[in-house]
Amino acid sequence: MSYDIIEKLKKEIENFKHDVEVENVGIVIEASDGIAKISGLPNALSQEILIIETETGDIPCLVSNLEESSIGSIILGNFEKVKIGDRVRQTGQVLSIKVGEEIIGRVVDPLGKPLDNKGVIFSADWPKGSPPPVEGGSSSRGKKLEKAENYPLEKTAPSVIDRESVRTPVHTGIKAIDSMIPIGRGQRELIIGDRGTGKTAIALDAILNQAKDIGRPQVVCIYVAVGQKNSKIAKIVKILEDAGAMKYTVVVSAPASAPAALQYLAPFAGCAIGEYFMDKGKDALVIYDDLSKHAQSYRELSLLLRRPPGREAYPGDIFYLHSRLLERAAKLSKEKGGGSLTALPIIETQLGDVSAYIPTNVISITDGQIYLESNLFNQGLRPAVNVGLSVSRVGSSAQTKAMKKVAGRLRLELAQFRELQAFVQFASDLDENTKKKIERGERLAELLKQSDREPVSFEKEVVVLYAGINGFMDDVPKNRIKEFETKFLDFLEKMHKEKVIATIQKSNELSEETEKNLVSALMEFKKIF
Amino acid sequence: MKYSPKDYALALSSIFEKSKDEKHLISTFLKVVRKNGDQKILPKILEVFKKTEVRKNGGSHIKVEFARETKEVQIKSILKQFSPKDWVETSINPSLIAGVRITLDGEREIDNSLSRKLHKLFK
Repeated sequence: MSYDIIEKLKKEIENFKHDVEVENVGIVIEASDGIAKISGLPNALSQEILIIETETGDIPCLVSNLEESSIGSIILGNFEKVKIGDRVRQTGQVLSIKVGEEIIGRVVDPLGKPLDNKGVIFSADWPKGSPPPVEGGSSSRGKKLEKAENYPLEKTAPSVIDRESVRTPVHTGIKAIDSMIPIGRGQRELIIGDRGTGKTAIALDAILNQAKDIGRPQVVCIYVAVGQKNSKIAKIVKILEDAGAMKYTVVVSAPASAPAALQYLAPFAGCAIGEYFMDKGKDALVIYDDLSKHAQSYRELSLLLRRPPGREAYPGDIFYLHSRLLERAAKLSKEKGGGSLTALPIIETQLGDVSAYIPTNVISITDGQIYLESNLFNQGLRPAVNVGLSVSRVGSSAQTKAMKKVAGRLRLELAQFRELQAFVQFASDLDENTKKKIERGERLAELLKQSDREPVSFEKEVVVLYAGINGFMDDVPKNRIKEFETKFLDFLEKMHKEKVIATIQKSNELSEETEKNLVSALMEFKKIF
Repeated sequence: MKYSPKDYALALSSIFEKSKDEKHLISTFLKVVRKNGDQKILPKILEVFKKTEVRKNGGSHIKVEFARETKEVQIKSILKQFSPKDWVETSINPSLIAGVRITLDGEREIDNSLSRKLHKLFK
């Protein structure tokens, strides 16, 4: 074996030809905290990748500032190895990530390098004649795969002509969201709230539920972790693996320990991966967790690059940073393959202040927001969604007919309940009608409570909400609502699967006949409950 | 206000064109630099000034790096290749291992060193 290697090397050395030529070159004149200032290279392009030749090897850097006499660049590697006088060469390439179906099921960094100890990602990169480094590294191994492609991290968003309006739902498996704040494929829905209010839990439930959402094409999920604790990312990957969700998920990780440059690039890498699947005509869902930390990492880089600071010391182009990222979420027209990229950005607020700079920016860019409140969370209402302040601007057109039928009345009932909630303590002095409304509202609020990692499939959400708004739970004690729900779903699954659940799942509608069957099933169940 | 080495160099270069008393000019220039507390950047000012002067005369700033001590004759034969308007600097850089590297105005280079060849071979 070693003889072969030496012989191969010998041949390579013998055949090596080196033509002396004039090359463009730059020199590092300043290096600090992940930023390098370079003189020379007059033809360098914005966003081009340059190679810094250090004593320990080549380190790539990204052209960020093109100034009169120098280039400001972001170092994409170990910046401690870069020193003044190191030579810099052009590559003529913009920053891109290699994407293919084999990336599904993997944990990668924003430059596409694997972080999960499952070996090389793409079969084309395996050494010739050798077996895959670790069996089962990718869920797609063994299938006929499309060729992996390099996707640029920065890309112009699809134009108006290439787009179509949102019409297919992305079910999160959370009753409150799917019924009142529906999300469509190609939509951008912000998840906003203080720390510890369950933002990541909603995103995770949305990923987990994709396996349950039968009847629609499978969604490829991309979870982008920006500035998160390594332990949290490891926990999320474990949850996804245990639930079998890594079969259709990619995790892009730029933890808190990663340089600001990688944290800045992570959402763009996640978006590029999503775009690959969108361009192939598939549906993708990308979760940016979270864009507050992304904005902070960009602020850090901008200040180090000596760009002028603006409000809250963020640079002037912070709005454009997020708008160009989120604009890439789209539902493509049939001519373009009909794929979609749904974006769920997450923003962490400080003490519920949604009027801070970054939250207002992202609220204005997205097509709606799911607002989580710590007060509701502490009251035990989980998910702690404030239904009054949450909105989905385009999702209702993607909602299924069955869900629309129950959701309209649910919203109204809950709105009336909220109005009357202040009078709960004077319950004895209220008239019968108001009392009933309050009691119905309390039961509906109880029904919308849901533990995390327990997403409910769409057809089950419909039947449960139907029971709630049509008064089938009015005589059930509040503390037994959860039990009623579980047992009723179990009953339906065993006794009326074909007539109710399967029919709603197939047709996405709640026809008169199905409704009749559902009512009779409810009556039947109430006799035994 | 802080002046950059480029500001100083350009100012000195433009005054040089007009003034006849070079000695007096240099001493007053140094006094100004001292008054502003910018003695530390004097080497940089000098470098930028040299580059500016060379460019003004239509020449180039050329750095010739040898891997090790080279015979005087060889150096002269290399230096002959350049125009008298050029500003040529020679130095020894052992990291090249063998050969020579020529850099033009810090932007373009001809690298015929062994270290570059090895780098290209194992790329």
